[in-house]
Amino acid sequence: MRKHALRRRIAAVAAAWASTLLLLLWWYFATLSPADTRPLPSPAEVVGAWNDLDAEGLLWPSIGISLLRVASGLALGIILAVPAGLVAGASRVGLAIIDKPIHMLRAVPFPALAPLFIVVFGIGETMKIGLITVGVFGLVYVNLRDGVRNLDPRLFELAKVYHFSRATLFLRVLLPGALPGFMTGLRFALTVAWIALVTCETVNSSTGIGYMLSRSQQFSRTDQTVLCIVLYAILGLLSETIVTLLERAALPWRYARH
Amino acid sequence: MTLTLDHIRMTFDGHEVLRDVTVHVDDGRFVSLIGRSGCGKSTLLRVAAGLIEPTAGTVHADHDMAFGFQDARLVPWIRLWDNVTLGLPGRRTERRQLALDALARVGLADHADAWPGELSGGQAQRASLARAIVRQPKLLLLDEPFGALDALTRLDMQDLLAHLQAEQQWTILMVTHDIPEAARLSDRILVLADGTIGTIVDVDRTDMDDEGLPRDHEAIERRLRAALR
Repeated sequence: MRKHALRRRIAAVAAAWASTLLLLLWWYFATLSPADTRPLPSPAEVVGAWNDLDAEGLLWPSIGISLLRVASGLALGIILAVPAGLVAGASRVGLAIIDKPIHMLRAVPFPALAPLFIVVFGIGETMKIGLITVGVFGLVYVNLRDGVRNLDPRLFELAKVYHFSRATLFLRVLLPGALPGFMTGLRFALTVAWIALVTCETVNSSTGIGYMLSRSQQFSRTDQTVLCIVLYAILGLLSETIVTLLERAALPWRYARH
Repeated sequence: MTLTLDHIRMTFDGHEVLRDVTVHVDDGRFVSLIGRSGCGKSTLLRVAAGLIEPTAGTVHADHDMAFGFQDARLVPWIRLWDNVTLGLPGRRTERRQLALDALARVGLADHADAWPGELSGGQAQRASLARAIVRQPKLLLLDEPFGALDALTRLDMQDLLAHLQAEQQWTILMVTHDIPEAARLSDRILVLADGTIGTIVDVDRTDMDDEGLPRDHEAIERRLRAALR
């Protein structure tokens, strides 16, 4: 029985990675010709780019600072969005006051905010983290707000009949009930955080994946460009995995067998 | 008197749902309220529970009250035992023990740590009864509690409810649209039609047949069907 389950699990993992493996194989065979006859660097050249950047002492600090920027922007965005989302979701007055301005902010593509942020916050870390924060904030806000608003109204009736205290209603019903919405927001926010990172790291940076990317463009180092893209892909996949694990831990009732 | 509803009138947007309804439920009695769907029987129950204010009339209901919903209404992200005692004061260990006792009474002792989503409809209704038990209510208001269950489960639940009522000495007002169910469980059956109580049928529960039905249940059911026509 257990052996059977293990075999099924291996099959599932193999199926999930088959397309990626196929793509990698295609990449390998497509780039077998001499380097000056093709626009795309070969896998070996990209590994070479990794070694070059590592030798230069740029690679690991860049990955580190990019992760730090994403994490800071994400944390700040969440800290601001959670109270706003809860208030807008739970109270009509709160919704009336804060929903419109936030929607206007959300309607602005955040790269368009970059020039303004440079003027206001300068060209240092504040501006970069601020830009990521804006992208994260909107998504977490909207999804958390709807998570609260879509809570089953019958649960509030239950709370009334059984005289739940305000604390019980908030901590045991409203907050955990809004958690699925929050997790959805977090998923989207992570994607946007990485996108925002590319935009902001092209402005006055000396480290960061975005900096390596824009520099590779200037120096026509396609091998480094592809390496940066691969790095984004891996980090994106990694953050997605973290959210999935987080979701399983935070919403055990959703994953219980029915 | 555990529950008295006096000349209740209820209008929604000018539409009169309850015209003039007076209901008395004596201590320890089981009263059923039947009527066609949309006749306002659930509205009346919500008035009795204090969930909505009537347009006119007065409500006297015992404060020690529990309410049973058709959908059992367990909070999906709270484990079963915790759902049963949710909102009650006391330490976690005390609440858990209280819940375990009540769950054992309704035959769910093994499911204390389950999520509500893992339960069948009948089990969820049992848990909902356990939630009433721990509150030791005098008055239990039930809104079509077994309406969503299959026929066999429904009979089991009716037996359980009758058993618990005798044990806990509950006073019950139950809304249902199931005529045999009303005949099987109640001391008195009220028929709500045209916004008022049109017919009152008293059931002699001293004279029961082998299946736990009043011996004259066929006559009772005929009268109720006629009243609902």
